[in-house]
Amino acid sequence: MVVRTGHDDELALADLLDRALNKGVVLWGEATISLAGIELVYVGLKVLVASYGTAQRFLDPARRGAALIENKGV
Amino acid sequence: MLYVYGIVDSHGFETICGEGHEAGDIVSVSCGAFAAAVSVYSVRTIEATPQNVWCHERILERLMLDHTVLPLRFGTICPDADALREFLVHSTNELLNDLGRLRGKVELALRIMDDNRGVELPGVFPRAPNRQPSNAVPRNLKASNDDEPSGRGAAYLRARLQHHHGELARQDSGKRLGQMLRQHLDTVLQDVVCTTPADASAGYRVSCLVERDRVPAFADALERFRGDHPRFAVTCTGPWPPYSFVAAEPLCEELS
Repeated sequence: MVVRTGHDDELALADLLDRALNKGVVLWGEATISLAGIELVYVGLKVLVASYGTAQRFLDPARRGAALIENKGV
Repeated sequence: MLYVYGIVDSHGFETICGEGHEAGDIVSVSCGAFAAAVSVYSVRTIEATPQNVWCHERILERLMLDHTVLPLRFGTICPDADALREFLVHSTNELLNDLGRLRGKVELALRIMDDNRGVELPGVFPRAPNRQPSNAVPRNLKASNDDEPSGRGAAYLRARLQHHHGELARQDSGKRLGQMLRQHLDTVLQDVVCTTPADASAGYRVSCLVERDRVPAFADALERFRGDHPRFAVTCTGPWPPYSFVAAEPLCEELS
């Protein structure tokens, strides 16, 4: 068996995406990438998965408070 | 903005010209005994296209020719060098530990499909036992033609139970597969991570940490595994930077 290294190989791309998007050193808890024009945020070590706007709403304490107030209909 | 590719075990390296994102030069931001490989980037987000992810990967592979490299997760963008150094300083111990542990090692990725999936093969992948003692199973969940309840609630609970047994069977199979792999690859494996995806049709995903100069021996051992277990379809890609074996964790809470 030959270990594949070809960069145009779909399997290699799948394995790379599996690693580069889910693993590797995370120096700080938040990073933003975009996929098909939609911004996605990694939160902590979890692969994410909220839109940037949604994540911001829950990460920013002031806005989170405002969101809670909105939700309670105050 | 700086796009950060990885951490190298040197306070610097020769600039890699024009090969980064947006055709940027790859330069070092040093922090004591190690350095981050970065390039100037114009915006705070990056599109996760195959081209961009391969660019990230190619830079890491280039650096790996001369250094031990800790790959950063794709999409790591920092406001400036000072902010980056602050993170590096706070993570120094973890990064140095990883650099020492992963020196000279690479990752190989396996995908393993069981061609006989779904077929009962006693002794190899036995059906997962019912982990609950029989007297603990709710009466209405016991399989019995006589008193099997009908109705949507019972059907739902039966489906849950079946799903649970499926999960146990997959976990059990994953463990057994790991044992079989270790028997064949033990002499060349430094570490291994097995992932059992929720979707059984995706097969098992295994990340193997191997000394770079033992990759040919790994390939030979894997070939023997395939010969001994023809029911498994095995694919292998790599060598990759050791994405699956880094341990450094973010310190955002302390810094914020």
